[in-house]
Amino acid sequence: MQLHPHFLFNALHTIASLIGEQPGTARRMVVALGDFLRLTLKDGMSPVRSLGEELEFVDLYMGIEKLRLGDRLTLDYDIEPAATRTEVPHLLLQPLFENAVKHGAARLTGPCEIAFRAHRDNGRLNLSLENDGPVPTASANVSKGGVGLANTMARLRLHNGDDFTLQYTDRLQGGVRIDVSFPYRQAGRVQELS
Amino acid sequence: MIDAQALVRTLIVEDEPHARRYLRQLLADESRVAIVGEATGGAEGADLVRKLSPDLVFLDIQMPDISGFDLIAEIGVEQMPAFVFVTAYSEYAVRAFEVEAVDYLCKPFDRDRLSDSLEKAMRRLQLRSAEVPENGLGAVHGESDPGLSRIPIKEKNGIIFVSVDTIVWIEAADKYVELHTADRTYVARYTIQSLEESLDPKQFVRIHRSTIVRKAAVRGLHPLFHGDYLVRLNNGTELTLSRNFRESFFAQMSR
Repeated sequence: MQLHPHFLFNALHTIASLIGEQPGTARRMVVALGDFLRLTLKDGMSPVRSLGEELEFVDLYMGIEKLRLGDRLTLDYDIEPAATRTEVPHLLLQPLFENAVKHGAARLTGPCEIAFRAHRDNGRLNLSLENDGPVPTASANVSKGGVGLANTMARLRLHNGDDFTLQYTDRLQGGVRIDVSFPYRQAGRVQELS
Repeated sequence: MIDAQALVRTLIVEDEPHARRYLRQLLADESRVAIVGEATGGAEGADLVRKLSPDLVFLDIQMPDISGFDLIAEIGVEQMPAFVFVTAYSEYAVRAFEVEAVDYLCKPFDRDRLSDSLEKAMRRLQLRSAEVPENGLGAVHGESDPGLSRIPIKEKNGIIFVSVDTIVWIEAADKYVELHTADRTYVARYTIQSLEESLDPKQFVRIHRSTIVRKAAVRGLHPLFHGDYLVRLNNGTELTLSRNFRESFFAQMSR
């Protein structure tokens, strides 16, 4: 995956800021960053994982961003336990969360909520990710998902052929909602580990 | 030249809470720096640049509302105080040079890197003040006297000390004076005359029988009638330069 260098530099700077005053938090952040880098840099990984494993990776990423942005970022997860066993393409979620931070929390001076839902319905897995963001104005050039979203589409296609939907909605109150749906398939042995 | 004792009035503009606190802590340990304000976004930053007329700004680039570059565009490169960019993005260095940034401080940084930037800023500030020609008019104070640094003020529950660095302008009102800072006004029992004599003439200038103003806060002058001028401050305040003080004002302003 492409790791954005400023994510790394910002995270390192947060650590530098915390070392004196909150050494415990600084240490936790170093460990989270280490785990995140290990997963990011690992090559030759299976192209599919369970949704649960994807969410662990997202947790590392969001934990680091939450420390950086402080109270401005709040997370709300609603995940059906059985849905975490779904087989999903590797790196399906993290780029979507990254976009949500970049176009949401990083663009709002006030608080930003990122809400994630995962449910099974009629043999499909339905995911939705919503983030608060600046109210779109005619003049603002709202950058649409960009590379992140194109990569997500490519991964979904590899995994599901044409049997998937990805919908991107600009919310009237500002921010974005992304809906993804594809057939539910239980992940294999990988799941037994966790 | 800037006095060795004169503190550099510094503004921090940084949206990330830990990064802001870190910068504040590092700067607080610098004896030559007085932090006069902190902004958590670009728009608030622009506002504080106008209100406080700082000597130096530490400026983040990526911020939620408007970027560091937008802030400079809003203030104007000419009006912008000396500033150091503070950012995780190395790709803006060329643009930073174009808007005359003193330095480009890449995150993560430590005390040593910050001190280097501060050193550069000091040199830039000295150059700026050295460009102003000396005009031979005698200063009231010797070179060694930087003037009053804190003004004690009696309030209901005791005495508070107002740092002179925070004062933008002073107005006489009856037997009192009003000290105007960016966010509030203090009323104190002093005469404008005694304050004028105690304040550093390099930083403050008398413009009226009842008004003293921080030189760095003056944006421009507009002629009125009878030889008076309207003095407009960076924060929008409008004051009068009376003709009796006109000559000394122009002589003092270039010092």
